[in-house]
Amino acid sequence: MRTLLSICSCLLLLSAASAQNSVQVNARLSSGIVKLGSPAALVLEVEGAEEVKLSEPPTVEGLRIGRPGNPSVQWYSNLINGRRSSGKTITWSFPITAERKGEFKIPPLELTADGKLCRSNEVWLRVVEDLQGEQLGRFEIRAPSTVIEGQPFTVELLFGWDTRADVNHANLSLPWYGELGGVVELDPPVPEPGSKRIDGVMINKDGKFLAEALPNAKVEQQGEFTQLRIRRRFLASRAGKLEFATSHLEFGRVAEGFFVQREARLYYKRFPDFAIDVIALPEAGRPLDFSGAVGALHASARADRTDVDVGDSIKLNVEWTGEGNLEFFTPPELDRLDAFEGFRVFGKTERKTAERRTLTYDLAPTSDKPKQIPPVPLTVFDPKQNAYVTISTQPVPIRVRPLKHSTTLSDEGAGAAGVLDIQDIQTEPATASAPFAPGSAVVGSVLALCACGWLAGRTLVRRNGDPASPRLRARRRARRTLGRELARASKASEQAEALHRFLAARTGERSEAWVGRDFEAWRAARPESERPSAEAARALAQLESEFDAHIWAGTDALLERARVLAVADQLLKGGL
Amino acid sequence: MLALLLTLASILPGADVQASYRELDRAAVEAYRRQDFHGARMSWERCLADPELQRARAEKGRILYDLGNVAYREQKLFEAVGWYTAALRERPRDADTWHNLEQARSDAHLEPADRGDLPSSLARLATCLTLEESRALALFAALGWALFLAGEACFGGRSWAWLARLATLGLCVCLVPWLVQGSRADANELLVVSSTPLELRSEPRDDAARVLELQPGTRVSYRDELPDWIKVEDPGERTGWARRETLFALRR
Repeated sequence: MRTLLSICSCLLLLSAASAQNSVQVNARLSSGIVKLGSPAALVLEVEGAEEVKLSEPPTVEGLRIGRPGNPSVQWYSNLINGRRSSGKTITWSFPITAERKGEFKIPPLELTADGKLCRSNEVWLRVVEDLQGEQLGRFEIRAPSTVIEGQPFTVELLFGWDTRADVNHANLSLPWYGELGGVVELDPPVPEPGSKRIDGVMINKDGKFLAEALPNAKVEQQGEFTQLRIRRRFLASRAGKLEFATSHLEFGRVAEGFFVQREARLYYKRFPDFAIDVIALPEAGRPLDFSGAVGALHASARADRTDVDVGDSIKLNVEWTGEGNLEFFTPPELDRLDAFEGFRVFGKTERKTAERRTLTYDLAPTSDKPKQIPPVPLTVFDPKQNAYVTISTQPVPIRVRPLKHSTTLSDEGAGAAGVLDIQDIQTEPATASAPFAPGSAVVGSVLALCACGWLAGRTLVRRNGDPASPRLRARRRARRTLGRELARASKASEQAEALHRFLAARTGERSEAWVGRDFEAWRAARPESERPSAEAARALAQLESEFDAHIWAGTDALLERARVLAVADQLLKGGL
Repeated sequence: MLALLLTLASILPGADVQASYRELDRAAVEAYRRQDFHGARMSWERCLADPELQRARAEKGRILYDLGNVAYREQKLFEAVGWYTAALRERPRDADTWHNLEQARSDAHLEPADRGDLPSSLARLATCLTLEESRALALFAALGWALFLAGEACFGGRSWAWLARLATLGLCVCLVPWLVQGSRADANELLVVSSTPLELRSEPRDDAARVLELQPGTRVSYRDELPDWIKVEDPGERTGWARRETLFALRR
């Protein structure tokens, strides 16, 4: 309905604007009378301008006028007396929060439209106290009045309402939340074990927060109130004053529409503004090794083992607990502490939570002298004592056993030589004869010769084929193979076959070709350089005829092995 | 008596040429034992001028080593480092020289000559032979290589080819000391022996612009010289002039 009215009014304004053909600026309130704590908005509409630049929102005591969000833009078109005109309306909405009851005049807003300075009209807002809400609700913010720079603090929001009230909606309107300068929000404290938790409480109508349900509070003459609590932790990072503006609890019943919330009945409970003083850390008496820790901390230490050998690793677990900035201080470096001279520190691992800070140092005793792991100190500023204090862990007794059959560097130095010194002068003339010393030219020549010889030899050898081919390898092995086969042969026929295989391997012919061959003709057909002597050919022919005689006579008796080998050697010598 | 003779020898013109380095060596040893380090230094330095000694690499290395001891006893640690480094060029595997070099470098707060890491170990391996020894090694390796090449050429086959490849690889490894020592033989290196950072000047004048500062123990290359000045080049190929007494020539 409201939207429809806005559109209608816009159209009326647009028609008027088009008629006048000038920039029109209009300001109005979403509601002229509001309850203290309930939200309101100042709506600014600019019509007939293409480019608008807003000035800062006006300052009104008792009101907080926030910055507007992105503007909404509406285009329109008019047809009057046959004449068509068009334009646009730009609308901004300034959120308003009242800090007290009263009547407030909001002065004209200034803006620049198409380079021209314009002013809106002034508006009046009346803020009334929600008396019913004040009676039905309870709202309290608990926070320390002073904190030290770097000290974490907790802001406790306690709220509730009369148990007889019909409430399904709760929103904490905290204008300071997320707006405090010089403050870091930390993880919230862990809820107390066993406490009931209620989800759905909103802060600044943004998001759902978990609230702890505390036991109902009974107030005389007022009745029984539900009690809810939300705690937030902060850390003040710089000195100054933290201003907490007036806060409100909004509660009541809200009917849920299909698309939007439909208000039924809302009440407002106010909590006045307050401030926290953040005090700077005192410079006087600040130790040079100040870790940055602030708070009331406690330290404890334990070692994973207490009976070790020299050089054995010990995991020293140091834990700091208490109310303080546990996540933010710099832990001590053990290897920079004189007390840990007898140890070697290899490194550390750490875990941090809001409740505790745990560091595990990996250290090893370098000798058997240490009888305990010294206390680990940490310089802390204690706000209660208002002074820098050093908190230390308790020493951990240990037993360090020396390594068996070992000597240390100091032992070697002291026992063997006393102190390190140079070797004495050498007085004996060197008797070593001059080493064999070829000149560079000789070495270079040998290298070059080897390379050239290899290339030449390789080329020469490969002219007759690859020496690694099966035929040439069989040819090279033929004599050795013949000797082996003759040794294994038990009949003349086997000896003859072995001889034929030898001849085949050496000539590259098939072994069957040598059965009944005319050796004289074969010899005559050979090239001059590879031709065996006539005597060798005759001896071969003689040997073949003897083989035939033995084989075909039926006895197949062996021939003398040496004789066969002698004929083979004779053939090889002749160039076979 | 010997000292008297040596004194006379030093007075008489040309007498030092005749004096054998062995006699000078004996006199130096005696002087050293008397803790007359200056006398020992003079005698051993004259030994170095002997042509006979220049041909005997091991003996020269011993004299350089003894001169290193003299410098060490005189608390001239950087100079001692220089003498020992020069001695190692003559006798690269002498354990006493290595020991004294590391001791002197340690006393002079220099990094160890052999850090024990892989590059240092490889460098030490490549320089563990003298130039003559490395040439002999190269020659023997070449002969072995020739055998495998001959086998490969004559018999072919995969096995011989692999043997020849392995032999080639072995030859390359054996050639490394020769190449390294050969390249170092020609290099004329100097060591910065001033106790404070050495300022190199753009010209051989004390008031010339300072172009570079070298830390003690840095090795530089010789480029030129004047009577009191030496022009050197640092590893970054920047040149400058330095006073002669602040540098120690490693080539002796």
